[in-house]
Formats: sequence, structure tokens, C-alpha cells
Amino acid sequence: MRKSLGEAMKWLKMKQEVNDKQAEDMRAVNQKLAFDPRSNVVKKNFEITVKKCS
Amino acid sequence: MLPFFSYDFYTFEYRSATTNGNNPIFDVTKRYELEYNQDLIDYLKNQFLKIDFIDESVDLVASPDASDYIGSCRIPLKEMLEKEHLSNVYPIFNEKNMQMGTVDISLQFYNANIKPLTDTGYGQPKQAQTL
Repeated sequence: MRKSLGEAMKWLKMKQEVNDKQAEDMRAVNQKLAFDPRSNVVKKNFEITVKKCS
Repeated sequence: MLPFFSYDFYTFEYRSATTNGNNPIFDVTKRYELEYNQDLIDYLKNQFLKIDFIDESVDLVASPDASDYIGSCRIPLKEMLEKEHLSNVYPIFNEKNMQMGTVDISLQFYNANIKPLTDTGYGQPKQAQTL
């Protein structure tokens, strides 16, 4: 049975929401692992602090 | 004295603001986001962090023979392969190998997703060399 345009739009909207949620979850996991999915490279921050001279 | 310092680190470079006095307090933290790969490990294994201190109060136009170079400290970066944090007082030597003073420095590695407590911004990459 053919869906009405309204139902089709509703289905597309729901599918988009699921896709967005999955992408957001994946970003959170990658960030937690400090992982760049494009290059599979672990990133670290390096800090240099120069305090005072005497 | 109007000292500032500068250094090159990996693909980055930094020049501090000028401060004043013979015992200047810089309190500058620069953060660099790095890919932890073999290139970085080789760099840390073989290189020193050399920080140069310069006195901007020296007028090189009026006194061309004067030197604005105070001295440098050298920190072996290979220690960062064994420790995640290093904090020490390092001597500053001039070109005649005379100790000109000391500098209090700390180096730290941490995961890129953890926000540090102290931070005055990301460091800038070295500018492209013109041929």
C-alpha cells in the first residue's frame, strides 16, 4: 500500500534523526579514545610551560 | 632588562611577549596537538627543546657590537618518552658557556580529549619557509 506524502516525510525525518544520533554517538566514542577516524592516528596534547627565570 | 624567549618545537615555533626585570615571571603555557606516531617518537628520542632568551633592551643600532642574546636552556626531550610530566629548573648558558641564570619549566603529555587546567592557547605551526 502506498504511503501518503505526509507519512513518507515523517519516515524520512525519523530516519534522519536515527542517522544523526548514530553519528553523534560515533563522534563521542572517537573523542573519548582520542582517535582520528580519518587517519587512525592517536592524538596527544603536549604542553610547554615556562614559569619564571632567576 | 626586557627579556623574551623563543623556541622551535617539532613543527611549531613560539616567541613570548616581552617582560621586564632581571627575574622575569613569564607563566606561559602553550599547548600543541600532536599525532603520536613514529616521526614524533624519533623527534623526542633525538632532539632537545632549546629555549633562547633575548634582551630586547639592548639597542643594536646604537651599539652594534653589543649582544642581545642572554643565553639558552636545553631540555632533552627523550625523557618525555618515559614520563608524561616533567618539571624542573634548568640552567641558562650563554655562547661562552657561562651560566646566566635558571628557568623553571614544565612539560606535559596528555590525551587530546582532556582539557588542561592551565592553558594560554594552542601553539602556532612554523611559517612556511620562503625560498
